[in-house]
Amino acid sequence: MNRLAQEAVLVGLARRLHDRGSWGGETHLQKATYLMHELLGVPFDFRFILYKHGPFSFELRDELGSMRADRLLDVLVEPSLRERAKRWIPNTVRASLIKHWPSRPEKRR
Amino acid sequence: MTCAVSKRHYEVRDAVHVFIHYGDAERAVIDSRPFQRLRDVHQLALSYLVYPGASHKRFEHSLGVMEVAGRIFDVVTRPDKVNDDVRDVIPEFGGSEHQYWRRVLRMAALCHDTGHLPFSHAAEEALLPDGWDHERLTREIIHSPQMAAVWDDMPRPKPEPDDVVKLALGPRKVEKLNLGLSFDAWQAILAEIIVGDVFGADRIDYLLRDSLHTGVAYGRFDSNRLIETLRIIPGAPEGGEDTDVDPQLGCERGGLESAEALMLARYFMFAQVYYHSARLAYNEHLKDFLAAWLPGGHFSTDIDGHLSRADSEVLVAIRAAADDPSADGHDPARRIARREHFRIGYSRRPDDVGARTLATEAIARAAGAEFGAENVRYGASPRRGDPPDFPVLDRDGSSVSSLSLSEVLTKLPASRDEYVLVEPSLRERAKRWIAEHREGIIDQALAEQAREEEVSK
Repeated sequence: MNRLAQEAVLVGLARRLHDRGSWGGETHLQKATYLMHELLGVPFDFRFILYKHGPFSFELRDELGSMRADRLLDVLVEPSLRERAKRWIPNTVRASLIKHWPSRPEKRR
Repeated sequence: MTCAVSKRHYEVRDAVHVFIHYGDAERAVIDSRPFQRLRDVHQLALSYLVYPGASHKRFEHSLGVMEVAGRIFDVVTRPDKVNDDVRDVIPEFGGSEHQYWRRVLRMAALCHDTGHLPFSHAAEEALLPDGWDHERLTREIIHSPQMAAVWDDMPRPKPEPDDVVKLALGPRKVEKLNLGLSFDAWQAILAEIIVGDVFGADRIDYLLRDSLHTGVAYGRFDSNRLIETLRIIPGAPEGGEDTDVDPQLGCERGGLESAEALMLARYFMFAQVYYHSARLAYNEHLKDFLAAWLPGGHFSTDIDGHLSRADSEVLVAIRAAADDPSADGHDPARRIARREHFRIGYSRRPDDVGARTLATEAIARAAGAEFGAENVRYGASPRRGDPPDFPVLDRDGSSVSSLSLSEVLTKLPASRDEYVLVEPSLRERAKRWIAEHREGIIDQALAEQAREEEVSK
């Protein structure tokens, strides 16, 4: 997958997690991306390793930060929580990406 | 090689930390050939052509990282700073394991930059064979025969070279290089003390040092307060999950503002110094020169070859090539030696976001086709935007996410700078041409990417 196509799928994933009331923290995105790669065959370009708490990709961590820099994802912080309160949610400019790249993972197989 | 038996203390003056203290063990590493070579590697590559004071070297930076890393270690392992809930990951204060890891940490801090090529990062990817980078060279140096003799002759506790590698490179580089080394919670914290994004001694030293030498005040922050408030803290669990998170390096609530100041300092230094457009242009000219000048267009990955080459040899070659129109690399050498570097023809605009993030690269390619590839280059700062999430020991003794407490950290600017750099004489023409064709170029690039994705499905 080229970069923008991969980002479209990640934006779609963050949106679906968010819409279904899932927390959408980094752990969720890491594990879900791994499962999409392994079980659905989505050809992500991330190398996963068995890290402290299961599959993890440093490259995906970088990609999430990059997507924030490019206004594709936003970080939402819930200040009332005393826990790690960071969630990844789609930014509104995602529409310009989705227009060119449908984000449904089944179309990416 | 001398075998030090007496335990002596030395100090050296330092522009940032006033004095740097060390003993016989560190001195053996400092006097080694790989470390002495760092006296001849500019910390900020050719930035001194933009900021004349920025002629400092990796040598004093590496001494500074050792000093800061040692200070952080002493603070976070001090008994009054260690709470019961993290006691089992920290070796007993003053015990042999504690002394061993303090030594390994300071050795790793000294060695962490020894693999740098001449002019540091400027041209690493293009000028090393596939699979090589300065971190892999650092690993090879720590395991080299020269350094094996240093480790062997060292008074006890003798550092294991693989332990030095782990702390010098950190988990992510060790994973990337497939070194097969694993980190326990304690070792991960120690690596964080050197390479960490927020509290790493490397970052603390380079921000202060680069700020001092460039003469810009942006890189300054209250490092003394920050270091005094660092703690090893149980990680805060991620929202909605009951996960067991290893202890991590964090800070007391009273140090949060100095951590915010560090992150702001980093942001300002990136924009004003590290990714200044003229520095990016000089990086390109240096890369072009080295590709033309080096045998086979690559640096040697052989350790003797690496150690025998630093900035001086390259600077002499640049001066000679700049004066000789028939020399390999004459054109980029002339640009470096005579300030004829490329200028900004286009810089990323605020609406180049979302799918349009490919705009600047696409414009650089199109302008290259229009004005000649040799007259146009693309330059950019990295894409980074993950706000730093570290545990903070709140005043009631609980561990809280930095992002829950700090609005500054959640709002750190994340956008990047990107430029199309052009040959100075073409600048005005190029700017007009880009303004006229920009939208068409971006539309075409988007269509091409979408088509490429269709084909690959």
